[in-house]
Amino acid sequence: MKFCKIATVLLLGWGSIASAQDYNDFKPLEASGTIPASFVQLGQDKYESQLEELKKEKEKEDQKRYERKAKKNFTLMNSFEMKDFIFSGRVIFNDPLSQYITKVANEVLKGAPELQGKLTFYIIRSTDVNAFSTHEGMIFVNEGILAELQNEAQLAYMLCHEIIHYKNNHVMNAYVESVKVQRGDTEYGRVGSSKRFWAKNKYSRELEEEADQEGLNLFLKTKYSPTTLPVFFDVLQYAYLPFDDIAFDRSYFETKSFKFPADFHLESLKPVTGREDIDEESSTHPSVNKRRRYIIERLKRKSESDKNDFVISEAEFLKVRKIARFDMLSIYLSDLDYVKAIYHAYLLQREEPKSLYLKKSIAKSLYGLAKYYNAGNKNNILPNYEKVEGKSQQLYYLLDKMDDKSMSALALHYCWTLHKEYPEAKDIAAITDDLFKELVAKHYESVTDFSSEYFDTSRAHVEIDESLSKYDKFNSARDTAITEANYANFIFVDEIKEDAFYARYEELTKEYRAKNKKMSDAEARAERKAKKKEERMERRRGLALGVDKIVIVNPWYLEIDERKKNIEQYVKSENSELRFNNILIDNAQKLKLDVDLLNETNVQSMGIDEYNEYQFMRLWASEYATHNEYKVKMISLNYDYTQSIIKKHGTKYFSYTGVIGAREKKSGKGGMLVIGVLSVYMLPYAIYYVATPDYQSLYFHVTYDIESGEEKLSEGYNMNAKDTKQLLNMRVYDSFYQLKSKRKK
Amino acid sequence: MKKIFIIIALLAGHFAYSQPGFQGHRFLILYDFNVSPALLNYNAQGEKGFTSFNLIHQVKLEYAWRRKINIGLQGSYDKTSLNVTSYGDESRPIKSSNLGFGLYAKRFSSDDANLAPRGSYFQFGIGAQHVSIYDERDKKNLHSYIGNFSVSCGFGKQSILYKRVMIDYGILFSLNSAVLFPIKEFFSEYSSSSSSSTSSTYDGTGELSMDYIDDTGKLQKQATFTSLAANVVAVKIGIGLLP
Repeated sequence: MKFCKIATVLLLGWGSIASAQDYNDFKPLEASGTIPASFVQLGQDKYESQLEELKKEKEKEDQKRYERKAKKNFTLMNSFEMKDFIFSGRVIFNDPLSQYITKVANEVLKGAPELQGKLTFYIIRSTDVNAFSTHEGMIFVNEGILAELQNEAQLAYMLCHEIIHYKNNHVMNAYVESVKVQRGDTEYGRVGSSKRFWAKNKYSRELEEEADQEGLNLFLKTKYSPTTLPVFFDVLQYAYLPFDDIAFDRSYFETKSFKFPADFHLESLKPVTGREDIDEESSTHPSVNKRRRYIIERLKRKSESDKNDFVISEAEFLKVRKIARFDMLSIYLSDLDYVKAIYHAYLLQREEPKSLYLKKSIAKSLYGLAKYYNAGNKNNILPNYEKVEGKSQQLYYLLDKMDDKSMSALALHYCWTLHKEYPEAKDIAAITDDLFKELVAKHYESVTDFSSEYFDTSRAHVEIDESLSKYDKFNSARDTAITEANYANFIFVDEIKEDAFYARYEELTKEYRAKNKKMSDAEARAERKAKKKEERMERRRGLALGVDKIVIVNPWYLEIDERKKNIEQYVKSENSELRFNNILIDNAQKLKLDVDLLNETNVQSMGIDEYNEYQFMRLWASEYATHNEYKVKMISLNYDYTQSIIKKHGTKYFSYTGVIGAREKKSGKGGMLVIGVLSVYMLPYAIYYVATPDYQSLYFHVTYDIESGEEKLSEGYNMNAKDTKQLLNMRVYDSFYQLKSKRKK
Repeated sequence: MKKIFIIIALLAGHFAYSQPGFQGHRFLILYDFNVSPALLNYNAQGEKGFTSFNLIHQVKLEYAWRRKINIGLQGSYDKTSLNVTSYGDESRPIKSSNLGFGLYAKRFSSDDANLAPRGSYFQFGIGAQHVSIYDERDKKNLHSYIGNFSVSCGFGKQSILYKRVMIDYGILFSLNSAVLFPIKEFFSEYSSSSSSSTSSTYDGTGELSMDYIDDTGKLQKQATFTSLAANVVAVKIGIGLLP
């Protein structure tokens, strides 16, 4: 919702990035250097300074009162929501990609010297093909679009487009226009909601066309060749497809012993349609075809022989694109797009076949799929293969045909092979062990449940004895072919002969059997009694987790006033967030609970490492919130980074907490006063009812063990009370007490 | 708004229990000042009416026992006047000085904003009083006894200020053994209707003649009734400390 709001505040455009990189052990991109001043500023300070600028503007221009008010509202919203967006876990700076974009932008800005020094360029770690600019001069470019571009000229054109959005103040104008439409102060007059939507979109498309046209004018002043610009619109048209379209060979996962059944192959694949010419009226952007036609038409009259596709460096462009493509893999994993990650890595392996990073990405994707399949969430994690276009559809189909048992076996097989090849890779060791446990507990209790012999292919030609009974015929048919029912049984034929594999499987089988052995009546009674006692203790005294230190990530605060038109109270929320930080620290000190705060409101004191940790933990939280929603317990796929921050902070417990304080709209005040006047006995109550506001507060606290991904404490309280300091002290202390205290044995 | 949905998804079905006490403080010392209208009794100043009030002082020691339950001990003090007629010039201001003690429990309402000792509560208690009936003029003690057994209930709210200061306010209802008088009276009349005895029992509500000043039973009855009338409904406001 918040993101949607940002999307309305920011005019979305479309959519660009490098240094020495080790593609074998690729590290996901991070911000570096100094945190930009605009990130450090409190929302309210930013708002104040922008208000000053608005006042100057007001003196120059003759504006209607509601336009001034709309601009003020826009400034308020933008100052705070931009900060939320910047700290959403995806924005990076001073990385190789944004450094390269800045170089290309500087080349472009030679044609607009008045804008030099006014713009800054950042990368969004998102796989969507997109870019956008803000009215403050921040231009954000998604990694997704950089991974798709074909040359520097296309990147330069995209930047020209965004620069025009900034130059012509399109973002704010779009907001003011939407207010005008709302008020009926446009050529359309007062119209219904659907027409208002149409009118707003029409204006947005006009701005996009203006950015295309003026962007092209700016572009034509540069040294870049416009020859491939029409192709740029192909990038936009096929943005929903992977960066290449290569046939996926299922033998990629097969071994000598493990073969997929024949019907796991899709004979005909869905052709690529391009998904163009959507209903333009419902879109904020003109159709891609229309935009392409405009560019082609304009370029007909141009002969640009002295211009080039690359001005900075072709090698640097290719490097930047490759980094973007590699980095997208970690984004896919974080976004739980496991199938896309496998196909993406598969494509990249053609370029870097030995890259450990790519192999790890596939292993982690298979692990994620196996976990979701085993938790009964196959349909939630696997996109519908029928809707997938292009050659990647084969992979989607293959994974769709697999069940939880075969998926777990395949994941373990891939991870075990990788683990043997790279025994020092701790992340792979951890997920391999988890997959062993998963397989033992859910599918193959003993290693002897797998076949230790290769499938006898000669049996495939054995004719079935017609004299057998119906059932014996079916069974014989199963034994003479690789079928959906038996193919996974042959996956570990070679591994079973390995001592380490066999021993680990056996060990886990014993552990599992010991844990699940049938208890005697007396033992069962004793266990039930102990469990009841523990439950009783929890009910009476809460949890007692014995945690000495936590890291609190992004404690946030939202103040709502339902009586106001703009219910979200930005300035109040920020002030309350600062107050909430003090409450957290104060209560932690009372309990001698060691707390590290990673918080965007005290970003001034953050170093670049803390900034990166903060962004990482924001994404981690949203990833694990999804895992919890689907009841999936998973080891962090960023195992190494997770371990490094556990080591740095000296704790594996990370907490997320926040408050929503709402002042509610009270209805029936007039009626109550009338009753009070008519009946004198009701008057005191009527006065009380009218005079006392209604408040609602919501407090939540979740603490995770980020090593295991386990949720240790999760509580949320919806309270019919004002979010006073003492109310919050009561709740925060209680949460911390449950974390800190230990149960006496 | 997206955050709200994330939080709701995050928290669905995960509600932990809570530890009673405010920031670790489970004991509470309270002083309550109760005011009730002296409509049916004479207050300490010997006044009665809409503009006259009884003042009751209470000291309490409370403990946050469960997340929604406080238990406590209380001591109270109040003074009333007995309705004794005087004759001649001899005015006999007879007072009843009541020192109460009791036990009570507070059940905090189910809203999550309430966690003992903070929030809205319902209270239930039992108690007794040590009553001294004396003549204020010469401080002569006429009668002392332990009685006025009572049950009380009420509701109120406790709020915390400055982390250590507790504000308590609410309404308290109390009934004591005086409510049994009419019942006893009824049974006593019923049982004596066939007898020839003409002596009537005293229900504590009427004026007490000086002739009966030495009749401790009648004094006790009126003191009990006065106490009931003074405590039957009281508005309380209190201040406390979380040690």
